[in-house]
Amino acid sequence: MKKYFALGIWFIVTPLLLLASPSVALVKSVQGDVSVTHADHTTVSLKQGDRIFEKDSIKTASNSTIGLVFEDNTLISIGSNAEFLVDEYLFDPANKNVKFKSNLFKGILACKTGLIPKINPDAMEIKAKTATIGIRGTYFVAEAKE
Amino acid sequence: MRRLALLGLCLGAILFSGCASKDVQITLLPEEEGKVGVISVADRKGDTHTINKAYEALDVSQKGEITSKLETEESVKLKYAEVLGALPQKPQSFLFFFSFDSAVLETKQLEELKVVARLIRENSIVEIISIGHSDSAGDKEYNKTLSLQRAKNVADKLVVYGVPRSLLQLQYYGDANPLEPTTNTKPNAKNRRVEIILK
Repeated sequence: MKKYFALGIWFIVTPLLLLASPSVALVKSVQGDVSVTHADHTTVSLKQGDRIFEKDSIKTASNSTIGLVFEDNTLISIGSNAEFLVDEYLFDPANKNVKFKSNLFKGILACKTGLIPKINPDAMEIKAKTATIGIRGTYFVAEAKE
Repeated sequence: MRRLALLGLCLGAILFSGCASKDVQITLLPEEEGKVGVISVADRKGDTHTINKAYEALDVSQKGEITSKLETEESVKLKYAEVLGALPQKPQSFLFFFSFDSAVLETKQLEELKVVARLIRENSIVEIISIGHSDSAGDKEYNKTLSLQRAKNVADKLVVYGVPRSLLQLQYYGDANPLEPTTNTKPNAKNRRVEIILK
């Protein structure tokens, strides 16, 4: 019911905007025990098909991994015993308004970049401890050693 | 006590490698087509260190000192096997073209949609976006409705072929997002289409 209502509104007001929810990424795969803490401090465990939002902090246990597909098709996987925060994410390609700032507190991540650095080469940044890493693409691994 | 042991370990490590335990390492990998991107890290003095070759790596120490080194394909595959194995595939996309002023799928296209439905089931797809487009012949508002109808028809067929409706999202652009940009309002076969994206 709610869905149809939303569809109706969308029809009238913003036929050119995407129907996509405000989520920034989809959980494509989960192995083991992975949880997310939202901006409102609630923590839930993640499963395949769940959504990730701006300010979400993702934590993996030992022998656990997660694979994410972001709105701009950036692909990210996070390995065991890691903590990763999606600090800022903005993908509005029509207005060339893009930003992806994240923080790898600990652990390892692999990434294949999507459209964001193509649209603006200065828009993607990963913080890891004292380092601020500017990403212009395309495929890399980042490790924040403990 | 544990902290003391850790300190001892760290001091030991300093003697050999300068206590690398809290470092950050970033390693650039080649894409399938052999393409390599660019990554840069600014140090505390504001100097930028850049890597742009496959298996080149930057190491940032806790004190902010940056050194570069070259990893090998083997060492990267070994060290990062877990996370590389967990990286999702790129979303796939498929195009379906339509006749002028039509939202009807042909028999051959229905067969193709059956194949896509099977792909969706076999690859644990978590989201499907059906995006409708029209050419710029005719009325703009009419074209929006037509492009939505095309997106709906494709989505409905996928449901008939066993795809859960909860995975499906509809989008429509009318003539606003042509595959072949045109300056006229003539019919254009390439722009009368639905794109399905599988995530």
